[in-house]
Amino acid sequence: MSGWGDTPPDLDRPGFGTPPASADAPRTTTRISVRVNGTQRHAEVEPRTLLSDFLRHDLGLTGTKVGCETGSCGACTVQLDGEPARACLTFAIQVHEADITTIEGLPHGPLHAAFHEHHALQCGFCTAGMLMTLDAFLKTNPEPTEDEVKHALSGNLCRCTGYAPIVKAVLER
Amino acid sequence: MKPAPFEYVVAGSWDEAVAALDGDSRVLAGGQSLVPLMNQRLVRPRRLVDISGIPGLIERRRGALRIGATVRQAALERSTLIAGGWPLLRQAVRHVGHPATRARGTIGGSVVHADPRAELICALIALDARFTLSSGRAVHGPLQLGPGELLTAIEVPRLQPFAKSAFVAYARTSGSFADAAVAVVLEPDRAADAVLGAGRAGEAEAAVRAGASATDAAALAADLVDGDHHRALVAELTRRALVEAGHA
Ligand code: FES
Ligand code: FES
Repeated sequence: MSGWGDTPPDLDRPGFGTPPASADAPRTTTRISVRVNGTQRHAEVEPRTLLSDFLRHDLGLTGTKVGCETGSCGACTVQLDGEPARACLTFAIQVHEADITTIEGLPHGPLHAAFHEHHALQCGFCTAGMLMTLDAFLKTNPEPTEDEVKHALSGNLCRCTGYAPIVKAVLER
Repeated sequence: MKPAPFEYVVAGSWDEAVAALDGDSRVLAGGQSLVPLMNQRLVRPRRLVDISGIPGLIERRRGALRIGATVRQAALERSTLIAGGWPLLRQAVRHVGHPATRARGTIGGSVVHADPRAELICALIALDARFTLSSGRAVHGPLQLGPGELLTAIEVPRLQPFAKSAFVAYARTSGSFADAAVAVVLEPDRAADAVLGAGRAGEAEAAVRAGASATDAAALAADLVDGDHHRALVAELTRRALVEAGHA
């Protein structure tokens, strides 16, 4: 428990700003099986469980960050069958039998080293999303121009670095 | 933050999807517009019908282009068929969201969600696209779905030889919705000029065919929108698009 008290167990309770869930809203769970960073994982999920929450709460993979849950910030970017995807805009139930890579499964390489070298992170909250986006991008564009890098990162917000060190890290990795 | 509870149904075909839909359900395709609304609980469907597993193809049929509604935006962006025959669509789709949202978002979802700022719709209007619905109906022009109707495919007619096109947009940051955008298709005997959120600029098209300059035609296109700033944007973007498509 934090100094602010426990988080409410269910934001649906009356008076919390949203109307209560309708009585007939089904609350079933489904078993899913998904390959995460090379390991097959099985879990029971509610249909409404977001992939980001599934990774962080159910699997304990907290490297994937959650910033906005509306698809705006890119902090939650993971790779879904090799493509970058917003984990907050995907339900865990949809990735049954898919292949997920999170920051924990990304092998350390020249890009990590260049981020370190160029101070391309400060608080680090955006970094996992940046790296997952860039890893997918660089596979198809190994020699990008500065403009292409900026375009590729346009969906990833960073509130610390001002982006210049990140772009530099990519170009000089 | 989580969406309110819902029941999740996977549809393997369009028939299954239509059968699973009732008044309190929503269709889930790529989820890139719907899930943000659900996460904020602006939308609380009782049931989600996931159609993303229904196969969708990009194919040429009797010269025309046919895009299945469930085709992902990233697939459209990478398609060599599109790049060769209908490059306008490729230009437009690059303005839709970001690489990570295009990997999930579908063409059909973009069209049906029908945000007035949707770049793809603007390009499709300039290309005279036809929308095929699950009921068998085909719609030309603004898409209005009836109850239980789903968009299954989009058909785009073949462009004439020597056709040129251009898509020009202005957005404050790359990937956000554009403040203004214009799609232009110029063929030997046809001119199409679509303005984002406002549809076809018929007077500008007629002026182009009659040989008016790009600047004069652009001023007519700007009449479709309100506000000095917006008008100036549309006029300049139309002029640029016409020039890019080879009209002086
Ligand atoms: S948390 Fe997913 S995009 Fe911000
Ligand atoms: S390093 Fe803090 S948000 Fe990017």
